[in-house]
Amino acid sequence: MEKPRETVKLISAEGYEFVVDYEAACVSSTIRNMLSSQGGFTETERGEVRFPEISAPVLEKVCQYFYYKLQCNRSTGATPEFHIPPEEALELLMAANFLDT
Amino acid sequence: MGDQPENDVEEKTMYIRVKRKKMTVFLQVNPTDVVSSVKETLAGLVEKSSDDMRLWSGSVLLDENKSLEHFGIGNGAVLGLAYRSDTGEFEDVIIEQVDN
Repeated sequence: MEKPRETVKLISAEGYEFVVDYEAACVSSTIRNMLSSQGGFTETERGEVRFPEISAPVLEKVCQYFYYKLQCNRSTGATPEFHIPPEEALELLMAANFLDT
Repeated sequence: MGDQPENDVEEKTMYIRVKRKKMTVFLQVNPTDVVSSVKETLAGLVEKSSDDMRLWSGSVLLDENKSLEHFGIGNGAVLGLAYRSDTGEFEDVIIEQVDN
């Protein structure tokens, strides 16, 4: 019997879906708290979290950051750069603040 | 090695993004992973049989038995996913872009 991978779906304002590993999503304490809540929220049951205030390009960049962070945590050598185009920086900053990332 | 690979985490060195329409799946992989094993992982996530999906890197259709590094697929690369439609034909790869 296959156990599905531990994944989480993050949904942007426009309804774009980003499927990431549970481990990656938990780089954000906000998401980690939403998913581990005992209250039986939809988020916990279906492993989906909606972000109506975060646009798809920003949410995608956030997801890329999660994986960058996982890779940094593992590697003992030099960390690769995480490039942020200036026009995305502000929205990304706001999203990061909300997500506590 | 006859055993089914487990889903537990061996250290994967890179991630890829597999896109179809409005969906992006982030997958942790190794450059030496073969296309068929990536499809198996996806199949578990999207609940489709791996026979009913094709993976593309740009305009290159990825062969089952070749590795990701064979196609020059590196960290953060975007792959296109196409499903087999009810007619039996594969759809074209469509990746929706957000209008800003």
